[in-house]
Amino acid sequence: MIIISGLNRIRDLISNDIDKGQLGTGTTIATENDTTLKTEVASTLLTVTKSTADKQINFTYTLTSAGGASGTYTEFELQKSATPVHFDRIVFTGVSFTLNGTEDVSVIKRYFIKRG
Amino acid sequence: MAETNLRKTVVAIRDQLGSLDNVNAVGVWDYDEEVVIEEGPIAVRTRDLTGDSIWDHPTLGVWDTSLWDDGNYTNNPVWVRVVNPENIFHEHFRENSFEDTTNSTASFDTTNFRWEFKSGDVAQTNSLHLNQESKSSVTPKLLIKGVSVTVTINQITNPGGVQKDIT
Repeated sequence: MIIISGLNRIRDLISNDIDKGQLGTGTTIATENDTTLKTEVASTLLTVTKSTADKQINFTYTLTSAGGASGTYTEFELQKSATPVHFDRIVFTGVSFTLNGTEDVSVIKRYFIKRG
Repeated sequence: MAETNLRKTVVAIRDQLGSLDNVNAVGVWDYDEEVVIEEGPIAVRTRDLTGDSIWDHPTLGVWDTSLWDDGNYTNNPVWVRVVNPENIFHEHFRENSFEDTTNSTASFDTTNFRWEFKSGDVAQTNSLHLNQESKSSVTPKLLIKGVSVTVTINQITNPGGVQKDIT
């Protein structure tokens, strides 16, 4: 039986691997065959903050009002940025953002590691 | 004739195996273990910075030391989107991102990984789905032991939806 410390080890390996998040403007439905964001916005590739709980990883991504580019963001991904490895992609109804405007945008996401 | 041959075959097999007491059954079982990475919800939040300024701030207001967004905020982030892969939300009570501390009286227990209720307690989460789209159905799955609980699925922000009470 894989025990909790083993699951937490897998959690840590994933947590250590992922370092950045990125927003995009693509709108096609996410599938497992996606390889990256559909329309990534390069200036939104930013370091994520991470925290772990038992069997769980939490990621927080923040795009401050002074960063990124104006637009309506519709997709988000987590990635290992060195040699980019894209972990996921999720699509949502557009959120408007204005560079040097009066709003920050942040994204929180979590993974849970469990026995099947 | 065929029956005779069959008997001979059975006898031959028995002779090879020996009597039952001498036969050891050795089984090799292949236990599969599965580890699942459950992709959790994504929550997109915005924070209104109006009124926030480093001007006159004793620390952040020192010339050329801080930029806009560096410091204290007047407003809390507002949740504007919540999307779940496959439209399924799981709460494992490992941390309290989705705990609605304003409206809940039940204990959101991240030590024992459960909600703890006293009589009359109310437990409410933040929005589990928030994406400016209609929901055709909602399926709550709860593990409830020994108590009577009313579950309310609130679709106030979903025009055309229905509020549902389940006891």
